Amino acid sequence: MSKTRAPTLTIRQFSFVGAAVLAATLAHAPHLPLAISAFILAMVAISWARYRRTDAALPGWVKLALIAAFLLILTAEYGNVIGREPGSALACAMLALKLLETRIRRDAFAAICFASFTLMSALLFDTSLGFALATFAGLALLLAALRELEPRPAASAIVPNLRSYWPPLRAGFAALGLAVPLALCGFLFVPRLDSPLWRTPGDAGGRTGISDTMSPGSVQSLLLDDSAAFRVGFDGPPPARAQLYWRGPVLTNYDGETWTRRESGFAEPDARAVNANGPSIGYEVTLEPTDKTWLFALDLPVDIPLEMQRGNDMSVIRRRPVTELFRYRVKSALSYRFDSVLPSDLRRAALALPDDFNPRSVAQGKTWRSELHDDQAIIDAALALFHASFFYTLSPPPLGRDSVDDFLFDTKRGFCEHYAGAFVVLMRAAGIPARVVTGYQGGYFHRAGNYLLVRQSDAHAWAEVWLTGRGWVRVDPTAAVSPQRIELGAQAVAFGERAWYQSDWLLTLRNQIDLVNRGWNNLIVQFNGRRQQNLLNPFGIDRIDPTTLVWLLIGTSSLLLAAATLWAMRTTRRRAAPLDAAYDALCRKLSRIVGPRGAGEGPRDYAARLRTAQTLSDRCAGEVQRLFGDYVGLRYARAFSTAQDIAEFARSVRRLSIETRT
Amino acid sequence: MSVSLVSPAVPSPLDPILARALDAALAQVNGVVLGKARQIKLAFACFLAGGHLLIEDLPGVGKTTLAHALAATLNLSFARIQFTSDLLPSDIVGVGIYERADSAFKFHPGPLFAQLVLADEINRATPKAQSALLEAMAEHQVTADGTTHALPEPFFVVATQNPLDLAGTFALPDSQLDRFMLRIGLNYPDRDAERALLAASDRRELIAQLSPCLDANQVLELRGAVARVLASPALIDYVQALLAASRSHVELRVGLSPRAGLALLQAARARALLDGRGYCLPEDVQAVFAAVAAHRLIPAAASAASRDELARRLLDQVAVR
Repeated sequence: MSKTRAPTLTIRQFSFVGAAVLAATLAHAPHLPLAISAFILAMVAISWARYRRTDAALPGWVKLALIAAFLLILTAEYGNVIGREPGSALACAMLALKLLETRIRRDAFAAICFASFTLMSALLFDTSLGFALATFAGLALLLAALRELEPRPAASAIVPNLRSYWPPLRAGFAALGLAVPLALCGFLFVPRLDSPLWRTPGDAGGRTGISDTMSPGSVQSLLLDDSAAFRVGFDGPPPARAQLYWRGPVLTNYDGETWTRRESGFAEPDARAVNANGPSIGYEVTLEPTDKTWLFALDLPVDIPLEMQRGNDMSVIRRRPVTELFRYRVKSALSYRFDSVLPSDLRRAALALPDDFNPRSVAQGKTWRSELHDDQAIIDAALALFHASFFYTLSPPPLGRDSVDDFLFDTKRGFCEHYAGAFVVLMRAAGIPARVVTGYQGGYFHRAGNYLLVRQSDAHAWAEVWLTGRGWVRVDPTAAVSPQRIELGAQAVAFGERAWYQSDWLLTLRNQIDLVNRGWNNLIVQFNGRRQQNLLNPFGIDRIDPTTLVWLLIGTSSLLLAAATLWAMRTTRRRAAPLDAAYDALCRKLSRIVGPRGAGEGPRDYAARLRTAQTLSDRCAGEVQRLFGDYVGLRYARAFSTAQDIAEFARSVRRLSIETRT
Repeated sequence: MSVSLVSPAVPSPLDPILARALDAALAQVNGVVLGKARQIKLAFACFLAGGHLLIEDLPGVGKTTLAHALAATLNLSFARIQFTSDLLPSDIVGVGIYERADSAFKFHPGPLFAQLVLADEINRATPKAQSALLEAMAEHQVTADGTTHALPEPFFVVATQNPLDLAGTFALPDSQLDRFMLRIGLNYPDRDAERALLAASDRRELIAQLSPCLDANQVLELRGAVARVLASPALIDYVQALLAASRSHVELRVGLSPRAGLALLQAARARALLDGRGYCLPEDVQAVFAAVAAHRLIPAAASAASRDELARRLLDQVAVR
């Protein structure tokens, strides 16, 4: 081994490694807390600025202090260091700290390897097509950085202008492109586990989506969010838009401010007496990750998969949170009746109103009860009230403590959650059991893809009232105020309040583009072990047991790799002329003794290096020097060399056995 | 069990007496200019290859001493021209003076009519005076008053240039640097050499005591032998690869010209001859490459590397066998 200090990176090489690290951590930025992002960014910036000035090593205590500081921030942000988010935050920060101590090629290799791990782990959080493409670009940058580290002829001879950064990047993309067929093979054929190894329990996400509580303003941010909530493929023709009520959490408890679901809903026996009149409709939902346990189904789900559970409020849940794209099949009845008998505890809960809240609304409900005799009449009165003087808007004025009172009697402006909440309060005051149902309404039917796209902006809240003899009946007070909300969607109604990116043509364009996203989800993200097996069954893969399969895989890939290696070696050897080949063979034999011959190292210099190294035995050293003499003689001391001489030289090289000094 | 080669190898081009005389000449100059064996070898190679030498370095590192020692050792007539800003071409070349006796102008040769001309601080003179010298270097003759006068053979110019202290100087343009076959720097002597220098007697006295090691015929014979040194096809491949690399190199605006290639090959041959070899090795090319190429390379505007550094990189990057 040479005792000389390894050369430090050039600032250009360092910049590439820094960019790779930045790209890898940037992929995690969406879920990292601000403090941690700031820490990482600061580390990268400091490393770079520092490396511009000096390539001296950082003292150990500084590193330790930085690690300690980061662990403090981490525990302050997450409370622990176990789990997907804190784990990846830790990885990002360690990567940034690695950059701080990166000085030589070995450090840079380590940093890039770790950066690729970190970059790939970002796919645990987001598997959308756009993100995957961004990851692909990030990976190309990593490869470019690797390439930049290679000591190649033009490495040190780069004009530091902006255009010179493109060739390595292009090479990175080219390398990735070359890897695509191999990746495809791996994707299709490498056995996969149905449940990923990395899933960690209790990942409470910060994802947007319907929550199981509702308080003034909680849905508002959703209504402006264009991202997909789920996509639905119907077995038959899609139902009419007005029937597309996607049932989510059902909220019964009300404390004057917030609506929450009943905890006992799933402990109680399943809902009773569902009478589905008419045909049921089957469909498959592909739900974007929500990090929540509840699922969405059309009113009312009658047939759900075994792994899912239906509460007695007819909402559907799953045991594990939906942390990745989740696909399930449901059958729903569009016309139905359920719960002809209301248990007393449920009735109590569906009539409960907090004391000292919304006195005017309660009074209004009581008035209706005394004036009107029929429950249906009371409902009609409430809907008529909304229809007469209320206005649908996505930016309602703020409400006070008695939010329902303020809304009903003062502001009279709001969107679904206001109407649903106020309606249920009125009903309960009038003695009619009522509850809020949240979920989504409508969706965009994509004709070309034959599927329904439901966006976060389709989030909706409506009410259910319990009528004697009819059971729970859906009432959508928002429809009374603004029928277009149901017909066209929330954003179409609130067009005056839309931002430029929500203009019609852009929305149409994005609806069309969603077809690509769906294809990505179907073909790539949802490709699991079962579908893999289905794909390979025609080739008899189902008749082979897994152990054999693994051995078969290892055997085949080893053989292929060996064949490729041999082929690569053969092609490089065949190209060389006889004298070149013999000389290369000589240098190869000796490279173990004094290291390989440099590109610009002539034969006499190399022979001199061998002489001064003095590692060879005397006899062998003499033979080696003679061989170099012969080579120089053949190549340089003659105007031409005969094939006979060259063959003789090649034989001598083959006969040479390396003996080191004992 | 060495290879018994069928094809004929090139014999040594020098007879033993000439080879010994050449070694003695090298040793003698090395005894005056201490610790500069590499540069002295390059200076000899330059002289034998028929080129001119540019020494670029600080004052007081032995430029003039080297030129003196060379002249004394090679038995060359010596002239020194101190270039100043008011130097006129006629101060170098000579001037026609009216001779009353003959009623005609008679040419009085200038200091240029010597075999070894030391052009000291060439960048102090005006371009006009510089070009008079450079023309003479290229043509080996001067023209004054319509008459052409041949310069003595061998004709060897050693020019010096001070890279610092640039106020009021006219740095040679890149195109004219090309006239010099080699450019070398001398640098400070190392510790031991400097100690020996300080301990020993005055260099001027030393030079005065030098005796010629080679006579004029031997010099001409040596110069002829250079041309006979074999550059094998493989070596020419290597020289071509170097030229090509210099032309496609991103950090270079202008690569090496064919003339530079010829100079490179010629200098390498002379270097091989100095080692007593009748054939040229890649190491010979490498030994002279920086001296031949560095002053001819024009770095790209954005390159921060020095010319010497760029020449070194070219050597590192171009594959040799």
